[in-house]
Amino acid sequence: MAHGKHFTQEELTERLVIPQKIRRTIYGAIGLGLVLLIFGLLTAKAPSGHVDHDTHDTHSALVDNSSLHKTGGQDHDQHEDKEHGHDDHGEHAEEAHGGGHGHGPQHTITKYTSFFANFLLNNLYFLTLAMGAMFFVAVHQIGNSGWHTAIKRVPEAFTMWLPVAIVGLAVVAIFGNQLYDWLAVPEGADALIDKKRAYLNLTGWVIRGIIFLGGWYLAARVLRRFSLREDELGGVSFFKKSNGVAAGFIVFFGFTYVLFSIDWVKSLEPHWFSTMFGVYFFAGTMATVSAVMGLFVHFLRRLGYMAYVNDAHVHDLFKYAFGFSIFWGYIFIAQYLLIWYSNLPEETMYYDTRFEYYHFWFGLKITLCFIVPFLGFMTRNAKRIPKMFVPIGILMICGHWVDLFLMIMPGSVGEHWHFGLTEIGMFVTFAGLFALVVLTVMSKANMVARNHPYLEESVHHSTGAV
Amino acid sequence: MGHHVSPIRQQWVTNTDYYAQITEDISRPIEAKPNLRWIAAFALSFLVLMLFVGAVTWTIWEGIGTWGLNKTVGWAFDITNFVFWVGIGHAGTLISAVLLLFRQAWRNSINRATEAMTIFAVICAGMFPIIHMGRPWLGLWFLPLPNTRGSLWVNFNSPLLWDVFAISTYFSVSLVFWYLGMMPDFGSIRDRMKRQGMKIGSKIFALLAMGWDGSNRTWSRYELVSLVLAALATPLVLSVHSIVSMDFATSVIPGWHTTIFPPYFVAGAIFSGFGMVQTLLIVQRYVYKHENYITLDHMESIAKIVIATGSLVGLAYMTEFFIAWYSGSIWERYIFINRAFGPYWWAYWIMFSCNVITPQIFWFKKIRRNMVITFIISIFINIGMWFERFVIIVTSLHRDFLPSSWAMYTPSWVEASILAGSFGLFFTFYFLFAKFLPTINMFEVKTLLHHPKQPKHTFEVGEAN
Repeated sequence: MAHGKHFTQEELTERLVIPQKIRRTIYGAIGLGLVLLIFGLLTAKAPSGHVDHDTHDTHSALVDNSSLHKTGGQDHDQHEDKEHGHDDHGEHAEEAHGGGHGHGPQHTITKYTSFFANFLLNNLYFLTLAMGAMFFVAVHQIGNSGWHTAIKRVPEAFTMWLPVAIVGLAVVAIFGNQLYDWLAVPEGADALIDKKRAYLNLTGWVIRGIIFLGGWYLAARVLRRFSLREDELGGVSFFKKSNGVAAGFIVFFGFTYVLFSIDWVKSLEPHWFSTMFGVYFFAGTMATVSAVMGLFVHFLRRLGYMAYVNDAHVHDLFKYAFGFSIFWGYIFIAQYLLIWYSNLPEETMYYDTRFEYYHFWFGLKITLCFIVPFLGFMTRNAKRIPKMFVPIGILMICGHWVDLFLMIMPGSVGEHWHFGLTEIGMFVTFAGLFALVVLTVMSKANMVARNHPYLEESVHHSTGAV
Repeated sequence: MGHHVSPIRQQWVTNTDYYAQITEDISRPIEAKPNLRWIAAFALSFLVLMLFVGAVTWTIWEGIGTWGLNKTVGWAFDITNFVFWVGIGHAGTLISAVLLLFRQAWRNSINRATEAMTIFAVICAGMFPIIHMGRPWLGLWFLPLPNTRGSLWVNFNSPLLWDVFAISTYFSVSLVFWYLGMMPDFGSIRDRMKRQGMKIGSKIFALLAMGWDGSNRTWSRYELVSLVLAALATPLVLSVHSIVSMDFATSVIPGWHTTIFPPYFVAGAIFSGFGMVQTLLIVQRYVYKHENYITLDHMESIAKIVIATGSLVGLAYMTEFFIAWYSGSIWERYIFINRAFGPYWWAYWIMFSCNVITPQIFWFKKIRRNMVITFIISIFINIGMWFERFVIIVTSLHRDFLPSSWAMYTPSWVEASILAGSFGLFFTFYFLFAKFLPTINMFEVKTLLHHPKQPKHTFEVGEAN
């Protein structure tokens, strides 16, 4: 452990030079991803209306369940329902929702819908990494944290992904009517959506998007500029100025991240509502970004950089991953339990769709987002030994993808989800781009905030016995 | 953090140079005779406690009919007080467990008093479900005990039963944590009393210290147990108020059934707990002259937590309001409009202004360091958080689904006395604690002393490269 070792200013001055091998691997990954993506697109078929009988039965049973509830029926056995669950599900759904429309999206699902949904998913995935990193930087700034100083440039570099995310989401916005019912369905066709049009309308959505993303990017730029100027000029004035920006950002972030999650994710199913949604989105964000930062720091150390970062830093990052995945589990179960317990059809429909067509994914999500990190990161050593934290971290990364998949697909493609070359290819392409952007940004500045007032504490960081 | 401390790092205890000084400052009030101010304060709280005893006796003697409840509003003051006191009981464990895990050194001066506050607040909270039963001698029926009552058994589907488990677990762990943390200090006091020839006192503290000998082995066990308890207590900070929120959120009553309730209640509980911490610590540091230990910097940190949690609560209020509109559900929309502009509008706006608007003035450093203003705001927070629960509970109930069942609720003098009296119960405990037990964690404050004056740095802050 580096505890006790002193680092000279020379040792604290290092620039990242992306090794050719790594650069080639990243380009290769992007290329491979694109090939898979294009191949997947070429072989894609328009979704057929066919639903196999098993799922149809369950579907009707569940819809029956909620419609019965509405008409006063309460305690009944689901198996019983299965027996007479062969009616056309559309009718039941109509009763159940009162809004006049059944399960699944109302917009036309073409063979490109799932492509756009997937594109949205990946944009959101990496946006959550950037925003989680931004929150991390801001909170540690105002919390007077010392330990994170040595690794601070990593989350800072993550936030510089935001411009790419902005472009990506702009593309999504252009093709918004492929995904969002409230953009696709004309006024007057759906009474429930019409009630929300004061908020869910194209102009408002775009303006809000510009304000949210613009505000976040502005804050990220300012914090990064202060941090880089501090490298050159030293002193504590940049540190002090950053406090104000970070505090302001956190307040702005709190309100906007909730609305952002409604605008871009929850409104995919515009009939459904849940006050918890923003918190849930945030919990997943933080759990994933902690794991990704931990893996990134580990990766840079493997490349021979960041000698001043020790196991304690990695340990603390994975403590966050552990803690936030428990927090995710808590938020997930709180939302799920309350909806299940009250059994109101306007709320349960969200899980109905997921149980019907996404049963496997639902179980996978809980396993990867909660059970794996919870059991995996329980011990101290698991957060320090690469053999443990690398696989667990990778599983968490997959878990967040599944989590977003479950948030996005049912509202955009309904039962016609697709997992194959397109999905893998797109994720690999995005991941390659993300790595390229982050590494390039890192190579543009010193690897460590070398004049940060808490740096000395950080390079001697130790978690002690635990 | 080791020995490498940044020159700009906040030092928490700066006006004390010697360990012995700390022991002396904290232990002296325990050994001395109670002063007049303490006697007066204790007598007053005991008097208020008698009001509690009287009102509760009357309730049990005469029945719940002495309260202002009616068929529509069947839950009001009692459950409001319950949730209020449980909420107060949240800051202590947050400070002792969560801040320990986050390596926040400033918790060392304030953890003891806030943990005590937690325990007394939970005791107060626990009274209310028992009182509301009307037949408290059947209180044992809360527990799933084997019995001869046939099919009469606790209802595991009910969040009210989950409360019993959640709160009793929380209470036990908090109590053990609190007691364990005092053992080294009990040891010190025992030894001091022995030296001063205080026979009875030293015997009592010898019993309490459970043979604490200050050896390496004892300390290493102590630290291990503390960490394990901190890890156990951390999820409890979240679970208790989450379960309490489910008393409401599992229902189908608009205004009660909303998914954000668990984390929102937790944020509110921490907020109200810290409000009470401000109230108590400002008094304590003044009365006991603990300004060197509970410094303005400590009070400033607490104020920052108050802004953060107050704003989170505000975010939750707005989210609820917005989603009520967004849901398109007429019941949801109605209940929220009714909350803010219906007959109980005043309660809503007391809640909103006390909880969301007032704490915002803590954004100014001057105000965070001004104890008079902080004290006033902390009282506002206590009031606001009590009203939050009142608003949630009463406004959601008073306009029933059938307009013919609409009703208003006014508390009777008995309920008002129980609420007032519960403060008597709380402060009686608190003053006993403040007199007879060490109010500041002596050995943990000692760890904050004696940092090297100027650590050896490889660079100087402010120096270019």
